[in-house]
Amino acid sequence: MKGEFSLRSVRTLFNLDLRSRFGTVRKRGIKYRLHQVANAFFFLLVYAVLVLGMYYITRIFVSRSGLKLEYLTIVAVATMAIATIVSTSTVIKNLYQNGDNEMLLRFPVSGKEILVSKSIYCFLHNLLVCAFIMLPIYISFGIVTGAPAVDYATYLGMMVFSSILPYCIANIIAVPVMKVMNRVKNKFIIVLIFTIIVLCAVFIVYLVSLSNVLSYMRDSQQNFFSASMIDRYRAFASNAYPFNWYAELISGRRLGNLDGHGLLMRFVYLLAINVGLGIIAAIVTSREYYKMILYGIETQKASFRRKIRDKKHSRFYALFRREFFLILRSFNYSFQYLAMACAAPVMVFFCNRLAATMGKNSVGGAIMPGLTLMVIIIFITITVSFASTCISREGNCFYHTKVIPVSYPMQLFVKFCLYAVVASVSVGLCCLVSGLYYTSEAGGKVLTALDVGAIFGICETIVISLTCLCIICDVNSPTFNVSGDGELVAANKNVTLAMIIGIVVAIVFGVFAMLFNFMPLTLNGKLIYTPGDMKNVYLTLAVVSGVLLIGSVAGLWINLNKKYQRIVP
Amino acid sequence: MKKFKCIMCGAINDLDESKQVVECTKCGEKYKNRFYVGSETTLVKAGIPVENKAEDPKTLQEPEASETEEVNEHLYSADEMAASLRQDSMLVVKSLKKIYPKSDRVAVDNISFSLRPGEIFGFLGQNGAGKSTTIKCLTGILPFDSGSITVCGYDIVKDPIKAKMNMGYVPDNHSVYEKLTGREYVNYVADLYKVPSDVRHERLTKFAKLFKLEFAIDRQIKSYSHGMKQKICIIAALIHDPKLWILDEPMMGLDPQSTAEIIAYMREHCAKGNTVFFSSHNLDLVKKLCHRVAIVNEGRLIDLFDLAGNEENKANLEERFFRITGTYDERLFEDYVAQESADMRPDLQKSDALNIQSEPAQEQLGNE
Repeated sequence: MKGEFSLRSVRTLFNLDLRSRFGTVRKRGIKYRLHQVANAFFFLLVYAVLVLGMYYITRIFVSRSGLKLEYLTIVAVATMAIATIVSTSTVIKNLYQNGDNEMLLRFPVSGKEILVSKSIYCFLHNLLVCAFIMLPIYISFGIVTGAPAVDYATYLGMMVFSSILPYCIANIIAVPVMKVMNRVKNKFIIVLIFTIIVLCAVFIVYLVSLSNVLSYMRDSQQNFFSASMIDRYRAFASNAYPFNWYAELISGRRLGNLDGHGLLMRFVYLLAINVGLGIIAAIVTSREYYKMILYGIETQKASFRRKIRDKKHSRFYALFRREFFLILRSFNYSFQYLAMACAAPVMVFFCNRLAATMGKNSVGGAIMPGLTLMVIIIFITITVSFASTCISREGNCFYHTKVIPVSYPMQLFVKFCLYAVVASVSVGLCCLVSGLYYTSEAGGKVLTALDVGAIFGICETIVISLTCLCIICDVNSPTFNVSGDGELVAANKNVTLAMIIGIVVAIVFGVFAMLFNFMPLTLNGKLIYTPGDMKNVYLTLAVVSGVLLIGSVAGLWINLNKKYQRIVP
Repeated sequence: MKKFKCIMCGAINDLDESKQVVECTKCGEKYKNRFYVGSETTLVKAGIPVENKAEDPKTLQEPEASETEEVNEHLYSADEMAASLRQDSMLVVKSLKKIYPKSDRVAVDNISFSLRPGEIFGFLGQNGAGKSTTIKCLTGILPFDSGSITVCGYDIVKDPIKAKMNMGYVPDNHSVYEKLTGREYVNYVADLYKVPSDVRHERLTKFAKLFKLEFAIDRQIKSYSHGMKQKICIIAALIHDPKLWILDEPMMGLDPQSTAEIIAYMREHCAKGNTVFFSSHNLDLVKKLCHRVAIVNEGRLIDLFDLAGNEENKANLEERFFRITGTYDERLFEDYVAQESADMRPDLQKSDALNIQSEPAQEQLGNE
């Protein structure tokens, strides 16, 4: 990559980038401020819960088992893995896929200057991610081990130092990932199938590993900190190069086994690794970046040819097909919706199997119907929440929905049918898979035909209700924030709202079914719920889901014309 | 005595030019006279009920004498204006008013006009004058605050589906579903307008050939250029052969050949008794193509006049536009007219002379 290099240009580009991301105008409306405060509060609340969790885990590991170095090694592996994944995604999005590349190339700046300014942003982003995930653990570690004040400065330094490795690896990985992505452009079905397989595989590997660990602990009457498990942690930590060196540096002379010279050598080794990887990353990126963005600009309009017959179809079919194709032909949308819907039965099955293994030991098989119900609703919520962008996704083409001679209720009915049908099929498959396995001997007969039938009925009702609620959210406040290729820039607040509603419903329904399958409920001396007899429980849940259904359907269709007409692109 | 036709009942009434408000003797509908200096040019602005305009000082404002003389002699007579709003019109807009939410500004203020079958109607105005907002209201994209819009006799609010069935719309931003191929998109639109298979095939083949899109029609729209997207929008808007074809700045970004094809097709479309309504900034094109033209400024319809067969109106279109939009400045206007006719290329000889002059200077710098 040739061209002049000026730090002044880099600074200007970096400032421009920051301004385009965060804006310069401060809105002063009270509603806006309240919104900001609420967002910040919600974020801090979630983060506080996470930090608290990290603190307790640190305390358990360090105080109870004395596995200080081993714990820090595991933490280093986990946090760096997360940072690498996040950083790779950031690098790909900002360096290679960002739509501003074409615009920036028109300015009198070199490719090298663009690369450096964007890399600064990526590095700072990576640093922030590392700070969020590493600092609370290191600080917790310091508190638990009673570290002196100077150690906290070391933790801060180590956090910064630890953030370099994931960033270098991310830059190296991003290049082949982008090359693969460029190769599979427009091969939608292949990508979809591949995504589903990968999604299922990752999930299965994760759950099987977790299940194996839990089984091992159960079978050998072990717990997390038995002598045998501690040996395993030690073995892992001693072989986890170079992460154990990071752990040794964090431990320092106070807690570790190394003297000053040893620590210095560890630091030199890690520095050498980081410098080596940094050089490789710099060479790979600078060699490929300019070529890659030019290729991206040249092929951003790469498309496929498809000859169809000029044949008349019904309006319903036309709208349905268009909606389906727009989802199928987008990587983001097909992953969010179709891949999740297809993978849901596999995920539900393995989740149930793991939960059944664990649950049976503690509270018995009685929790299985409730658990199945909860898991299915959670996974279906993820799929159905896609409906909460059904209008926003129209983007710049929203005007089209207003000018076509098809009523708004009809247009939304088609969308509703697509989402509800796919989710219903997914629910059907989830119930079929769970039903076939858990009603059999192999599955321990923890479910009956009544359970499966009732779960299916309740879940289908919830699917329709949630779909309606999601569409209502988007009708009320769509956000047409689309990128250059017409796709939504990010999930909007409606998705979050839909997810919250779905998860709340899943927890309430699941816990209700789990609870009253082994706990009797008497009202005025009359036994309402008998343990082991789920008929009344299902009846109650069916009534509640029926009310939800009526409410959501009415909420969507009543005054729909008026509400839709009010939407202005 | 001059007469006017009531748009409500169709009764022909005498126009008392001395009155500010005239009333239909049959149904009692009231209309406001539009006054200009010089009593003989007193006209009825048909279709504007008195109640809506009574407080509007701008419409009562008397223009400068010199401007009035220029403008009024080309205006419609009272009964011509009223007659233009008859029920068999392709499009009737009555007292259309639109205010955007969270905005004090009236984007479209009491606009009324109608389109006849077979005419090409130009809609002019500066940027932000309210052209696109009016078009978005006509097509049902935007809700409006008051007034009515009737397409081929169907009210866009009460009977939107039938009204939209008679309309084809080409937006100014050429937004289409880019993940579909051109043929998929046109077929999708044809399905929505219930166009039979053989008819759509014939039309699609014809338009693809006409607009030179045959090579790209089976490709994804995202690979199309700006002009190609505009063309596919036009094909989709015409696939059901609409009676009313609405285009928002249609020639923007099109190559000269495509512009010529669209103009030719506009004429062909109108020759079949259909109507074309389009907004544009190209006064020259409007002058050559349109039967009638309306000029809007700050949301108000200021002028509406014939161009077909009226050479004087054609000749005065630019000046009228500049005056109405408040951008008239004698010197600038003269420059504009001069630009239209004169050779605007910079004098190459002068430039060469400059270059030659600068060379010794550069050499001198090099030597230093």
